[in-house]
Amino acid sequence: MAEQFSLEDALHRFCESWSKAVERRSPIVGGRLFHKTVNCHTGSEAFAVTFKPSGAELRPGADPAAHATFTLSEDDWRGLLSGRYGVWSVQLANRQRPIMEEDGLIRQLGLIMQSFALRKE
Amino acid sequence: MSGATETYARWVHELQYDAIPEGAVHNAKEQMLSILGAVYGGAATEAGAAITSAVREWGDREESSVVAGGYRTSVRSAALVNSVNAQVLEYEDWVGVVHTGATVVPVALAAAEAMGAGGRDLIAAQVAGNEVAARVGLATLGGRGAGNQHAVHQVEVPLVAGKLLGLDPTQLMDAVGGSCTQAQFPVVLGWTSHAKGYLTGMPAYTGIAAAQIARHGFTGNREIVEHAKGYCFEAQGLLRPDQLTVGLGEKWHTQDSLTIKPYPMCGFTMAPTDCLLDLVREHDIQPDDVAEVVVECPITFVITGTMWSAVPDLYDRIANPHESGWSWIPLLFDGHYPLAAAIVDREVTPRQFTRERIADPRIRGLLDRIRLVHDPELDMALVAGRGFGAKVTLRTRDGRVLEKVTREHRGGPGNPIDAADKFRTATRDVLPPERQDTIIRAVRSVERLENARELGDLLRGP
Repeated sequence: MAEQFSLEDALHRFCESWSKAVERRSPIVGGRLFHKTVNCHTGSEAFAVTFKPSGAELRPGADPAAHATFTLSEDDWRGLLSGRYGVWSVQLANRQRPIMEEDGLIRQLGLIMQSFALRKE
Repeated sequence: MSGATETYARWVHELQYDAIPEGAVHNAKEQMLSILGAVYGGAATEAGAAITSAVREWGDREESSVVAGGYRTSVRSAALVNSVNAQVLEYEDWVGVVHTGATVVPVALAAAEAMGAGGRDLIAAQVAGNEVAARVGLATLGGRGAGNQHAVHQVEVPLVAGKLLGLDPTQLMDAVGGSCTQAQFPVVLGWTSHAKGYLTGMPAYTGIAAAQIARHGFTGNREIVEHAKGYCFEAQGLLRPDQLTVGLGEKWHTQDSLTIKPYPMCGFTMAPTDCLLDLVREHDIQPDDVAEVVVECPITFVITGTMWSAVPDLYDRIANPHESGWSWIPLLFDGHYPLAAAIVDREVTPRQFTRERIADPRIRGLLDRIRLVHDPELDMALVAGRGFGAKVTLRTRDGRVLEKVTREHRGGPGNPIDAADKFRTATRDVLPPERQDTIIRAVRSVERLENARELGDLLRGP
């Protein structure tokens, strides 16, 4: 039986990894994500992730002042956070419709999520 | 002080063969041979057959040869067909950070043949195109597109063509201005289909047209390359304008940074392919021996290698091209298929992207056994200009652990391949050995050619 997917738990783990990577001054992380908030949706639930130099914070619900909204199905969140594919992949599969002004931020976040899932220990 | 548009126009107009260093001439000929191999290979695909027959129907004036097409057509139509065919197997090259061969070679060949130019002029135009495109690429690196999506060709194409068509510097500026006014930016979604060939084919066609029209006094903006709201900004984002003309005529990117692809695939896949082929051949690995293949790679390979991985019926679409409009082309970028094919066939050539090989259950059965691992150290090496590296670990079912590491894949400036070997591989199913040898000899002595029409005659036949 497939394990029940919790976007909240998955994002929580991602935020922990991101915060540790920033502390280690790991390459790729940080940069344009600093001081940005991204709302992560499945359609039925939403979480706001704010990226700071001190770490990433996760809050339930969407932030109306967010810089970008990142909506994927539960299956695609699973795919992205497992590293099986990236956000560009989901866009090319026509399942994530970006807004031009937000696309760069979404692609950057998606890249980091995929990278963390596949990163060499 | 002149801007880049004027600087390019004057420099390209004045460039003579004798001013080009020997290393750049050598590499230009290798690039030409490599691209001709790609063109022959592409011409043999369904995409190549379609575009070759379509353009033949146009009945354009007979001035330049369609490689393997058996006919001459207008200079811009010949460049269109040959450039498309050079592109559809992702089997070309890059200079600096941009892919140049699939435009500069077809455009230079077509224009040289149309004008009856000699081989030295042909080489000079080709090298000029590389040098300009490389600099535009460096000035716009990190902008909107990367790799083959990096928009540059509307700058170098009119210069390559215009030089051979006899345009003066002012006309060359107008040609660039015209070509760049309708900026073309590649839409990667289209790379599921034959239309991927248009990514260089259309800039080749429109860039030559712009040059031909500029010769009659049709003007273009003469600052369009470097202007704050010009082509580089609109198409890519102009991040480092100082790079546009640095070292022009002193540093030769054709000599120092040409990478010729040894395999038909995305450049990021080459290092893993090198490692895996070495392991499979050295240890005589059979497909059933393989338990797992782990590829440690830069983030660039992770991103492009999984770009089609979210399409659930990818192989069904490829297997039914007439219903879906899809083709083998997505698999040229895939991080799993080429490696699986390398294990089964012990090579990755145009043959591995035929319908028959794509459907092979032994190849398909290996796809899930290939796993990508992102190594940030390899990103650092890439950023530091140390090339694309990879480490492949192959675990066998009987418990062996085999490893191979490369810091720079074959074909790169520090690890060059013999373009004649690539040409033979690319054309082995379409040209007999004697004809392969004749073409190789002709290209390797192209500077001695008095009239490029002789080369066109040689390449035109099927």
